[in-house]
Amino acid sequence: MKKADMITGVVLLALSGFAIQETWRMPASATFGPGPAFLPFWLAVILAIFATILFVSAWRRPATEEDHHSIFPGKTALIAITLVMVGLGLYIFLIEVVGYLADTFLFIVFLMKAVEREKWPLTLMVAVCTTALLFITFQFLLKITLPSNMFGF
Amino acid sequence: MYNIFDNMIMGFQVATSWENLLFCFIGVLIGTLIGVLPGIGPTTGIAILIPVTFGMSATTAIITMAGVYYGAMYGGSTTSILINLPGESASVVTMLDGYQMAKKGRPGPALGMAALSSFIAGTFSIIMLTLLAPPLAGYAVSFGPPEYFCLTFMGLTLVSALGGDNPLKAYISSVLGLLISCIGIDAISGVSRFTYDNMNLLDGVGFIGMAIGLFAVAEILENMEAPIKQVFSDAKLGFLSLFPNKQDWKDSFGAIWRGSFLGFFIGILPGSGATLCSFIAYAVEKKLSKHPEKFGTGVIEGVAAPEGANNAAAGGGMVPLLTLGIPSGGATAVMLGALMIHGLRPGPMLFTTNPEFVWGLIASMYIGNVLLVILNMPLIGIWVQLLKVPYKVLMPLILTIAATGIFATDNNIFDMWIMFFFGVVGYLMRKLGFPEAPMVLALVLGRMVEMSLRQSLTISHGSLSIFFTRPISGVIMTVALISLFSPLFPILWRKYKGRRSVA
Amino acid sequence: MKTLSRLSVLFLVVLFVAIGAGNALAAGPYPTKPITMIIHAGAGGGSDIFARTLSAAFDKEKLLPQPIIVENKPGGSGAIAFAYVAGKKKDPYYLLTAVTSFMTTPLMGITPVGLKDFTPIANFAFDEYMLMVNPKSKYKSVKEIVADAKANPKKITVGGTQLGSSDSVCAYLIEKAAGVQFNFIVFNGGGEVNAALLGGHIDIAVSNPGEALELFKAGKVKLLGVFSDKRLPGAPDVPTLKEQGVDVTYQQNRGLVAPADIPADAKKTLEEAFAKYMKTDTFKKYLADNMLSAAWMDGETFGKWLDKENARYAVIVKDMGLIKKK
Repeated sequence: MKKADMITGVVLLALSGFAIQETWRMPASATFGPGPAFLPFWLAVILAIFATILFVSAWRRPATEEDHHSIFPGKTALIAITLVMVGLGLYIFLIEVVGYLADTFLFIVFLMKAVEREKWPLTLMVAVCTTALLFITFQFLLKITLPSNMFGF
Repeated sequence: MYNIFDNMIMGFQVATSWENLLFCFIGVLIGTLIGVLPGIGPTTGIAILIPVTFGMSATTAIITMAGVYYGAMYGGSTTSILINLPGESASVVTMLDGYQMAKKGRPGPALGMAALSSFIAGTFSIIMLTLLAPPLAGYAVSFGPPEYFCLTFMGLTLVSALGGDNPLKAYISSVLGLLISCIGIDAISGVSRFTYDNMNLLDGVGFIGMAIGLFAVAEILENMEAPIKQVFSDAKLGFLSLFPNKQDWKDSFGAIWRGSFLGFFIGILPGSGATLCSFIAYAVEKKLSKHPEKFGTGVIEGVAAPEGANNAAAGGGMVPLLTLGIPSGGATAVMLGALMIHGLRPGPMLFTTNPEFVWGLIASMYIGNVLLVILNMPLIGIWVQLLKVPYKVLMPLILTIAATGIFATDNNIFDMWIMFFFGVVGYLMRKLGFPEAPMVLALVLGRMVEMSLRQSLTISHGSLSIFFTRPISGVIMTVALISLFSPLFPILWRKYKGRRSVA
Repeated sequence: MKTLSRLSVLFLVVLFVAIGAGNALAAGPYPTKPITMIIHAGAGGGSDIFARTLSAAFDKEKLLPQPIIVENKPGGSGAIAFAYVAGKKKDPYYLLTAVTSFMTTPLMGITPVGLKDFTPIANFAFDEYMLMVNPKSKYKSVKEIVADAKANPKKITVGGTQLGSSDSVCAYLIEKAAGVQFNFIVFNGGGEVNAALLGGHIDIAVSNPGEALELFKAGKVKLLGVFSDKRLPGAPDVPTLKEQGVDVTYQQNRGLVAPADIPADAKKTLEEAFAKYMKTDTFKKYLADNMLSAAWMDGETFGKWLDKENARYAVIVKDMGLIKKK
């Protein structure tokens, strides 16, 4: 955690520096009170102070046994996590191209086959049931127009 | 003393007509469904219903819409407790302990307590509404910009109560949340900040997308670390174990009442909203508790207090709407618009010009609350069965239902990307030991904090004394400052003692 | 092999369900699906009531085969809503409420979108404005306010919404005509301004009748003056500002625009439907309830009127010091 906290501190410090620099470009107030840059500027200053405290206290703290372990899980776990996020990203990216129905169906199939390595029958059953359930609830019960593809579904 | 007894009899006569009873039931049923679904909350639910209510009389229409409003408050807790997916914004806090209870095999008592606490608090707030609505109209407008700032600032100082064991990280998390709330067009000057010409960011970062990302998606990612297993320990699902036991009641009794009280009186203030009420109720409960360290590990008070508060807030929100025609938040604003379409003009005259409408609505709220308990208690038995579904099946379901619900709130795909982004951020925060709840609270409060702060400083021409010289704001500010520096007291005390022992 | 065939069968089933749903939205003459009307301000305000009354009347009287759905997109002096609708170029299924801020916000340089990004559809009415105070206020007339403002410059607080909105222009016009300076406080919407006035947190509020009439009837607020030329029929005891020696009149239009380059037939359909709406009882009742005066303009007339007003506001906004340097 020691090293992680130090890195976090530096990242947050950079973030606050960036925010402060952004607030310089905001225009002055048109009322008798503070303008648009007021709150973000002071928030960034407070963030910088907190980040420094985080960094310094982590730096001065003696390293414990725990600090030598990485905070992140092993390789297999990271692959699984990445797969889920890549799948989710593709799902969102493709939803207006492929259409809600097909996209949701494919996403669930992907999650269960590629990530969980399930058998086909269960995968298909879950994919069809979930997609149908969501589609019926949102499109028909709540009358929300879900994204559709060029063929209209 | 205007004649409450006669009025209530008249109200119940109106509310118990078969038509009004039926639509009250339909309203709470739809409300429960909307509450259970992530993303879409009471505001969207009522807006969807407006066209349907055109054919009805004004009284039936408002009874239906009010049913959706408090029905959603009931339903919102369900997915929060079961799968760490907030049904709507007011039930984010319920997740903190509710989900932990479910993980430990006690989903039944958590859901049961959520429903019963909601019922008690809901009924309490309707009784208060019945007895005190006109006198409370004055209280509803007694908060000016400085008071609102102090209230929201106090809410922010309580965030250390939402974090883990490291107050510094909780504060960093909330400062980040506040910074995120600055993204978008500034509501006073109209300047766009941190948007980089992205049209979708003009509206700011969507709260619900962020909350679902930080909680539900991050939770899934964390569960992916180990080979897929059953996340929930074997729940005892015998009939009796579905309900809170004697000890649960003893633990929750005070929390329910404090939650009801806070929820009602903060909920009255226009613009405050049920989410703020539930956050404050939870934080207060933790500060008062004999075992604050157990909060966040699945204590039942952590479910009872916010659930009571958000339901009481729903009742409190009706006070300024009915007495002054001023909506207290998004959901009541939509209801106000609907009333105007029906030719009713809510305002101070409503109690005298349309008594059958006002008292009919109030009476229907009593009935609706009873209907909700009758509806929800048997559902608990069904909901907990959901946890028997293998996690490998549940995981895709949670992800897709979250994504769809987020899309449905605004019909905007960008909100799904917000969820995606904060899913990654939430996972990193968990690994680095930063609590997510303060960031979410800060985003909810951010716009109110900034608006009221700048309004106050405009009134005072920049002087900070405005926060201390007015009685209400002065008191709240003092409490807030004590709360802000309270984590320092033990440290200073130890140093002081250490120095003395050396000397 | 077996699983693969099962997969294809299931996929076909999903496809069929989907296509069935898709066909429900079959093509035909405009409008074939609900029209979304974006309100540039929050729920419960003047524009909100205007839009929701209109949407309800369309539903009730079936003025169009499809309903008009109302959606609030408040914030940023309306810029959020303007940008949103401008982005729907060529799409006749979006409408936008257009009042003063429709001109002032682009003039202030908040948003790159402007008149060129929209098709004017119709104007319906002019909105009156009034100056009100808390009944406990020490001010009994506009004259007293002006006198006090001269004695204590920048001290009197005036509540309103978004800089550049009608109420802020009203306050500015008084400032200019009387040679005084107020302290203008921005709130999120008319409801919040009213709450602040009732609670005594601001000295004066500028409001339109739709938002404050009920409070006035109940004696919760006091009207000191109206911005119209003549006294209003709904409040004959309240003098105009002119009568009180402050030479200011102000009216706000209530119109609708659509994104740029929408099909001509869609524009015509909309204009005709709105012309019919002007004649409904709902609209007449709306005018009476909210003390508005009817003022019909079709798309072309409205467009010319907008250009003319835009030039006038360009001067006002510049004077108010609201133009931002880029």
